[in-house]
Amino acid sequence: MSVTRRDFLIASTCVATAGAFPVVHSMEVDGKRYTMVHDEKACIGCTACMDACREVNAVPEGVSRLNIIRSEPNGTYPDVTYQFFRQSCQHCDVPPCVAVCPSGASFRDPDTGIVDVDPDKCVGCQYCIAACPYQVRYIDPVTQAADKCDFCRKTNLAQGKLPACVESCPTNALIFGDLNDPDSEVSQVIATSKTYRTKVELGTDPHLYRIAAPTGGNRS
Amino acid sequence: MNKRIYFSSIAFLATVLRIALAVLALSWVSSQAAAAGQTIDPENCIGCHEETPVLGVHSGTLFGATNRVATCADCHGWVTDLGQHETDGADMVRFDSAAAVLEPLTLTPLSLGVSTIATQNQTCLQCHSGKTLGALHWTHDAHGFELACSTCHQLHPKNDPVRGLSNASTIKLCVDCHSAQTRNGEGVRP
Ligand code: SF4
Ligand code: SF4
Ligand code: SF4
Repeated sequence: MSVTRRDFLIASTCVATAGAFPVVHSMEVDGKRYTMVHDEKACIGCTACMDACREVNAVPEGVSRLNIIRSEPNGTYPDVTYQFFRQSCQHCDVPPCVAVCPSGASFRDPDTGIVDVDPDKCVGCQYCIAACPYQVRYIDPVTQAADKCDFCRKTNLAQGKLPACVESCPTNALIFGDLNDPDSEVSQVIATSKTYRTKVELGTDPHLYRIAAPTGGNRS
Repeated sequence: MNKRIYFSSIAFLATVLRIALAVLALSWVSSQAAAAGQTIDPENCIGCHEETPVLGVHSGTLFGATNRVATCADCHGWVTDLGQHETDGADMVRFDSAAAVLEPLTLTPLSLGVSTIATQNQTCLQCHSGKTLGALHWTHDAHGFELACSTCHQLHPKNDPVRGLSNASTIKLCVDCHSAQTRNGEGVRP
């Protein structure tokens, strides 16, 4: 059934995409607004989060939903520091990936603010991959559909747990929760810490906040 | 034919001469050591410490400073007073991960007979450059101050347990130490 529908969508969008992209996203937030903070001051670059994500979400080898990018070393041995940068979906409130998707596969869940992909609707056109300013999308080699971090919406969140990366982090460098709830830890951290987000000037309103490590980086 | 025998005897004599010179040089090194108050021939260590032979990658390795096979004393230091050494192990550089735990707490790790992180690591850095270590694995850089090399490496057993660790086991090593730190409130975000 789903394969048939997918095949149909692939055939029909080949024609439809010749025109303007339908704008299908909604910016209204009815319920929760799931948000993540990556505290670069606390991160030690162990990549436990990357491994946990791959395992819990059965992400195939060769692609990844999450990367921790390590800076070049600062200083000389033994006085060396590094900085670590989290690369993953920012769950934009104004997501270009959703705006360009011709089949409605890419969507923003209004109840949670999570941006996700319905693999059954994805036609593999890769417009979303090109449109995402954060370069976090890929084609899953198994499903042949676009994929990326979904805040573990279909795995850990569905089971009432925290996202796998958050659960696995040994230094509590990842904080996750509902930004619509002013009492949540994530709201508190954002309210009381100096945070930054990347590429806000594009108007994407990303929901991955970062606490910058001191200039020159971390000491593990 | 005769010519060949002639040349091989020359070669033989040269070899004998070289060995003799080497023996002379070695006894000179030993006498220098003795002159400096270093009375114990490091080869004698194993007489008492027979349970801890070096079987790992440093077994038979050349020690750069002397250009001969590394001995116990090259890493552990010379014993100047055998009596004292037999009583309390004086004069030794001891490689023990306990330093990493003790030093931040007491700042006097020697009280428990463990050399400071700096003393231990200086020994290793005689041969290993920080730059090379960092290139081998970035975590060398990141722990240069806080950990003794011996926290992760063991040179006496045949296999150094951290060599050839899988990626998953390496991550587990990071996670085990750092989550303990976080639990103890030592992290940035306990
Ligand atoms: S980061 Fe990229 S994939 Fe994620 S919501 Fe924004 S545009 Fe879409
Ligand atoms: S929230 Fe889930 S899917 Fe996203 S990076 Fe973390 S573990 Fe992976
Ligand atoms: S698990 Fe935590 S500390 Fe380790 S790399 Fe990921 S965010 Fe950083």
